[in-house]
Formats: sequence, C-alpha cells, structure tokens
Amino acid sequence: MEIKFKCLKISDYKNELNFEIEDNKINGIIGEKANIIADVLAGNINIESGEILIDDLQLNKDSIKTDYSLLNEKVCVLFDDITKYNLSYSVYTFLKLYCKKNSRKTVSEKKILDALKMVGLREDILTQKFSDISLNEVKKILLASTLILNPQIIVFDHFDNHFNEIEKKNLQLLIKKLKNKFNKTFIIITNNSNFLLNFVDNIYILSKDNIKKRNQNYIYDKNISKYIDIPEIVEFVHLLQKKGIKMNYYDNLLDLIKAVYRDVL
Amino acid sequence: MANIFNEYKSICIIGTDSNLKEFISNEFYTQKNSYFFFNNFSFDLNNFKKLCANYDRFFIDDCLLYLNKREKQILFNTLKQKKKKLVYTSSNNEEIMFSDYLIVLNKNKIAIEGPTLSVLKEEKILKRLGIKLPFIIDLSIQLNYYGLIDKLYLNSEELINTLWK
Repeated sequence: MEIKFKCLKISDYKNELNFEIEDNKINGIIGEKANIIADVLAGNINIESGEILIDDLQLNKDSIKTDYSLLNEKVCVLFDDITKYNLSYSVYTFLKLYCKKNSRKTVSEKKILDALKMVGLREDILTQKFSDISLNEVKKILLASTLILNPQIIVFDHFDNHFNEIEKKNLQLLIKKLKNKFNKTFIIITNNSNFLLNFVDNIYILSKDNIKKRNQNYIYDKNISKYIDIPEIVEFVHLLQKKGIKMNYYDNLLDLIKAVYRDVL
Repeated sequence: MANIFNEYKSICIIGTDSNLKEFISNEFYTQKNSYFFFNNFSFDLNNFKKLCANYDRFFIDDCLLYLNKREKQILFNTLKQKKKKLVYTSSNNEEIMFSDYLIVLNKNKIAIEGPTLSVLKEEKILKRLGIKLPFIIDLSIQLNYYGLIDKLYLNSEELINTLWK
C-alpha cells in the first residue's frame, strides 16, 4: 500500500510536499523536518491544502477530520515521545481501550498474547501499571498495540530510540518479517544512521525546503552527514579513501576486518 | 557508589534486562545540587549549558541520543571546562566512549564495573551480556587477534596511520 503526498501544504512546512512512499518497502526518512510526516499521518498537524492518497482513501483538509478513523485502520504511527499516549491505565486496559478506539473490530485475548510474544514480552506484564515498568517495556507494549491493530502501513517516529543493540536488531528482524510475509509498508524516521544501514530500501531526505528520494546506498554517501551522523563503520572507510587507500564499504565488522587484513599484508 | 562518584567525572551505565532509570534513582537521588533528566524528549544543548550555571552534578537517563556527535562532544567539553560531574545511562554503545567509568548491569544487578577502558577490554564478558562494543574498540580488539596491532586504539585516524604507514 503506497502513500502519495500531492501538493500537500501543512502549517509546519514552508513548501508543498509532493512525493510517494513506495509500497511494501522499508522507507527511511531523515532530515530536520522528518518528524512532520509522522505528525501529519497521526492527524497532529492540520492540512492547509493538497491531499494524501492511501490506496482508495483520499484525505484533504476537510475529509481528514471525518475520515480519521479510516486513516487509523490503514496507518499506525509509533512515537518515541510516550507523553503522547494516555498511559494511566494498566497495560491490559490500555491495550483494550487503544485497540477499541482505533479499530472497528473487537480484539481477542489470543491476539493480545500473540502480539506480546512477537515483541518479546511475557503475559504477566498485562496486570502491571505503566508507572511500574521500564521505558523500554512501555515502547514494546506500544509496538504490540500496533501489531494487534494490524495496519498495512506502520510509521516509526524515532521509535528505535532507547532500545539497546540486541533489541534494535530484533526490531529490524520483526519489521523485515512483517514486510516480507505480510506485505506491510514501513516508514522509519530516525537520527540513528546505524539503524538504517543495510536495512532500508529507500532513504528520503526532508530538509527545510524540499524532499529528495535516494536508494539505500545513500547511507555510504559523504553528503548524508549534512542530515545525520555517518555510521562509524562507513566513516572508517571514508577516512581510508581520504588517505588514498582503496576500500569497499561494509555493513558488518567481520567483513571489514578481513578486507583490512588482506590490504595491510 | 559515592566513592566512585567522587573519583570519576563521567560515569556511564548500560545494561540488558535492567531498569537503568531505577538504578540511577536508587543510587544517586540523594546527591545535592543535582539535576536529573528523565524521559526528557526535548533534551537539548542550550538548556543543558544554562543549567551548568546552577548545578554541579547531572544525571541523564538515555537522553544523549537526542544530540548529534558534534553536540555530544560540546556537552562533554562543557562539563570538563566547568568541572561538572555526570552520570548517564545509554542504549547507544558509542556513547560509552565519553565516560571514564563504566557500570554494566544485567537483570538490575551490577555485572561488571570499572574504568571504562578496563571494562571494554573484557570483550567476551560484554558479548555474553549482550553489550555491543563501540566500533573503534571492537575493531581494535579484533585486529589485535589477527596480529595486526598490539594495543587498543580510541581513534580511527591513529589506527589507520599505524596500519598503513
């Protein structure tokens, strides 16, 4: 399911937005204004003019208010900032209420348990209050709630923040599984270039004035440093190339070490 | 913990299956003249610099990731210049390199701790705990195994100059 932004004018952005998010791909968005995409799709920013097309759904300034529930069925946005969520309930109550609010279908207990399992949480977390669990666990519950709703498009707005390296890897594996097995489309908004490395299919750069689309190899381009810190493993190769040493780019340390070994000896 | 805090300027706490915020709260909450950044999604450098005028100790719970590399360097330079102390938790392995003391938690208990470089040399223990090493440290250790270098490098340029003389 692709998303088309057509001549979209919103209050937080200077120019019109005209671009498409590719269907069934993992799309990375970087740049200082990247988070406005998440806010528009979550209904947090008003549309002044233009439209968003998602499959057969056409959203403009007037229809977005009435069609907001239809938008929620197709697109789920996960925010890093958990203050955007009402977490005053127990985990179980939150999941039930959140899913009831965002879906016309009833949610079974089995679906809840399956979703918790997919994100690496145990059943006993259901009885706990959000004030008693870690930020990490809160975010996993938010991810589980999205899996229960089962939208075709999932947007991560800096959602990889606060996960350690193993959890980030598990998150990437889950996203890839959902993309390959269930044809879902992903938008990953992040400042962490290491999270994008060897993971995304496309990279969109949303600057103050415009949006540009690049392929996944843009992560190796020195110009990406204008928008995001370069991955350390890529920066190392840049330094070698600056010294006149020919070296390919690698996305894992072992391959880089083998290449260094071959070159040095 | 108080002794460590007196001796070291920048303490990093990382861990798996652990509530790092709870650890900081339990160990350090009674510290005087301190400022705590918990779940601060709008953490920024300017705000931090202003606070340096009024506080001597800072506790940051995984908020450094809201800064880019250059801003992090400025923050730690500011702390050094103004002789302030910092305890921070992190989910980003590269941020470990800013600390001079490292505490690694596993299931809310201290698994290993010590001066940062000493702890980072315990590569096998850290990997068993699920902790990924900072890039330059991991690269140094692996190249050492291959016999290409004989010490730990903290800087890519220095390492490159040694390997490709």
